[in-house]
Amino acid sequence: MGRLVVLIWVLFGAVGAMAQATEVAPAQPGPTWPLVKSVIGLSILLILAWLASHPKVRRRLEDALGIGHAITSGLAFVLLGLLARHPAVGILDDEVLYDLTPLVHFALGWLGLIIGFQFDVRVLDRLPRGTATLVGLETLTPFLLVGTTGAALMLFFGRPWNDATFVRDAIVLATAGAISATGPSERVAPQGAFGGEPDPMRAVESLDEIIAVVGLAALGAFFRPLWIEFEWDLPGTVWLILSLGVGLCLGLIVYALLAGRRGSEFLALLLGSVALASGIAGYLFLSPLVVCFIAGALLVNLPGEHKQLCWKILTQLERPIYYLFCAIVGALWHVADWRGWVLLIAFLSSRGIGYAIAKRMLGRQSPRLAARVEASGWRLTLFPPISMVSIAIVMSAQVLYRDPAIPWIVTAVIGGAIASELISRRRRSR
Amino acid sequence: MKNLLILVALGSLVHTAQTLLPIGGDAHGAAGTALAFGLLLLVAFVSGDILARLRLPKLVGYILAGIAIGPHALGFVSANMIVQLDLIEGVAICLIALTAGGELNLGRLRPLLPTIVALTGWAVVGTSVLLGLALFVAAPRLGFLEGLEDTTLLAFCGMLGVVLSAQSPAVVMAMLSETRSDGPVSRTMLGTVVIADLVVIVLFSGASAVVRSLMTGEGDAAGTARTIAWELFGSMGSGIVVGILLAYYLRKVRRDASLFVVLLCIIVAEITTRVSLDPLIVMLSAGLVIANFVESDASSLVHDLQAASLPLYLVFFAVAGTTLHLDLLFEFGAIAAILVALRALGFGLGGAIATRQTRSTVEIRRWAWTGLLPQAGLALALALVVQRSFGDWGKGASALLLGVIAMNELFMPIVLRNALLRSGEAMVRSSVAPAVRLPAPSPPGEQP
Repeated sequence: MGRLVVLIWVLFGAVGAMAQATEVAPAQPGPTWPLVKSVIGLSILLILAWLASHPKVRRRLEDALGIGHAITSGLAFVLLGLLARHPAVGILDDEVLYDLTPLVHFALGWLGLIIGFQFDVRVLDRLPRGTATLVGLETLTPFLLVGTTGAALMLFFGRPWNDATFVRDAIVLATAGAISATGPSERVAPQGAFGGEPDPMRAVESLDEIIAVVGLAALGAFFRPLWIEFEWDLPGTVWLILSLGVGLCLGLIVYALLAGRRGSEFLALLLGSVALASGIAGYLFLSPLVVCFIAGALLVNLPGEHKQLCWKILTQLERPIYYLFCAIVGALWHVADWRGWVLLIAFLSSRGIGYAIAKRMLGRQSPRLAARVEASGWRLTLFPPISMVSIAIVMSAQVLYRDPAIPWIVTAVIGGAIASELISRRRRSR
Repeated sequence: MKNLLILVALGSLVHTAQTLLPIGGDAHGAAGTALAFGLLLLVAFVSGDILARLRLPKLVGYILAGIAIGPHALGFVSANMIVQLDLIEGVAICLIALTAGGELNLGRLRPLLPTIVALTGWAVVGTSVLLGLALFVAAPRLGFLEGLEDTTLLAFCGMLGVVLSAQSPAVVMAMLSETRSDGPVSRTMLGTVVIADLVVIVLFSGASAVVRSLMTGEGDAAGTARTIAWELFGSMGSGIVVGILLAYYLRKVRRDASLFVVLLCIIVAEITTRVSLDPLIVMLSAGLVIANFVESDASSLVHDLQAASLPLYLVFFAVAGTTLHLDLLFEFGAIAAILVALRALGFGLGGAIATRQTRSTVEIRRWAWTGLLPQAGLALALALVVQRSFGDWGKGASALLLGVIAMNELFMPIVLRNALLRSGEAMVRSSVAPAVRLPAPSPPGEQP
């Protein structure tokens, strides 16, 4: 039921945005049909998202297609988004997409809350020896390689090296490349927070996502959008503190609101909380992912009975929201720009090399840990699947920044995500 | 105490965010929608909780929340943000109309039908005449009516009387849900406000056409009749089609009916208003089809919709609060208060005549008319039509109308709740439906 309710609200956002766009558009002959088309198109998209995220349908699809990770299973929605954007179809045009921004904020906030919920401080004490080395290697090596290669290529494409946005774009690309999917399909529940025995190895898996969100927070604070002026001229450090403060405040408010609630009230409050958090973040040009991450981290580490219900609702909706997200990503994807495809090849290869180096270095430094990681099956392979957080980071950048390199990065990361899982899958099946 | 602290924290957070607000920039507008939605939802919820502890209707809390954080008070939610939440209103209208229609089982209503018709005639039509005459008599004291000739003035006052007599099925539904009321009084109230709403739409269309023709010397009676006929019968026909579609789904698929219903509501809300149909009548007819001609249990569908509807109703009520012009209360406070009292008197007297005529039970005689007291969506929409269509006279009149509506929207739910509790029909239903306020249909020819 909760799943349906949030889906319904996501659709509200979508259709509301579309209706706004229709009203904003200059009067044209026969204005009703495009609207009807958009309403019906978006409704169909929602139904498809819901169907595709249903556990039974998902399992069947994953078995049949040999895919498991969100981005690959969301590929159909990326393609649907592309199709919906096509002028001949005309469901998602520029104005509709602009008005869908609140929905993107909401989806980013939802994802941020989930990642924050995995940040259970109780597990930090139980992490196996060498975790810092492992996470450092598997995150930093691909980060540096992807960043350097991407920067070089963007210079080649004519981006000025002395422009701060050039550095920022390289960091966005590198951060997206440094995160790999946390597991074959389901998210790791914070067992420690639920009173169970935490599994440190599973916790390690989500650490790079958390690191990426921290990186995104720094990025959002120090590289403010240049196309807009602010009331106060604040240094990056203050924006960073502000992100933290807003997240903490919201976390505390949500905690107080959810305490003792059940059923539809709980759901309504959670929905309102994510909307408010992502709205405030978007309002201040901070990343909703970061602000909601902080709120989620606070919620999971505070005592109370809200945690399990919260986690259940959050994860139930992750896939359908993500699929709609994929559709928007698809609509924003500039597939015709060849530079994005060249960047994709560079992104994939540098990422693969980065992980290969990380694997070799880990084998030398900590053979036991390397063996444990190897046993888990998907980490530190040549092409580990890309996390959906990477896509979220790219989307965050797309919402916050406006410069020519962002569409290239979108192509590189989306294409890279699809390719890396397909390659990874083929290698494993051999 | 906890709730108050939460409200303060929410307010402080948003206020701080606003002081940092970027100057200009279009992304700010987009993010504002999510912010407004979240803030209205949370503040309305907490305010409703506070009011419930004070034994007052939750929906008054929702409306007060909207007033407090809306553009006319603290300004946390701007007028632009509210405009972007339009879809909420449309879908709420559809959902509540469907719920109301689902509650109107003709078999159970048949014994009450004479009372409902008499109440509509005596109380609603009678009160609109009474209020129109009162305004005509008081015209010399109402500066904004200066310059109108006697005949035009009488017609104009008659039209204002119609607007003032509009009810709110939404508030009635909300109170029935909140107090878990069921029985003859509740059914009479609901049936009367639903039918009276349709009557008000027709009366207003006619009255406004007359006033327009008197003011401009041009009249298009045939055109007006066509518009009304299309809106009423076109909406009913569309509603029957929607009802059959929904019934087919309920019979054949059943699973996730709430998702299907909400999708339908979104489509209906977005499309009907653009082809001059009334979403309320469409979904009311659909609900009637489900409740009366389909074997599946309409009440289980209503129950399924509860969880999905709660956030919607919270935001919907709060948005309604943001549109209330409290400043106008100060301007027209005394006259508005007299009109509120006169309106209540008219409904009371009309109700007494109607229920005596139909020999209704004591409970219906005493309490059924109180369902007519609250005002909301339809009255607001009609006031806006008056404001836009009749120049300076319309602007002045709408200020007075909005003042009266504000009083009725804020205080009458309390009277209604009290009446339901006293009627002995409260706490009858086993499950609590979300507090809903049934919005009103859009006025004829008005594109929300």
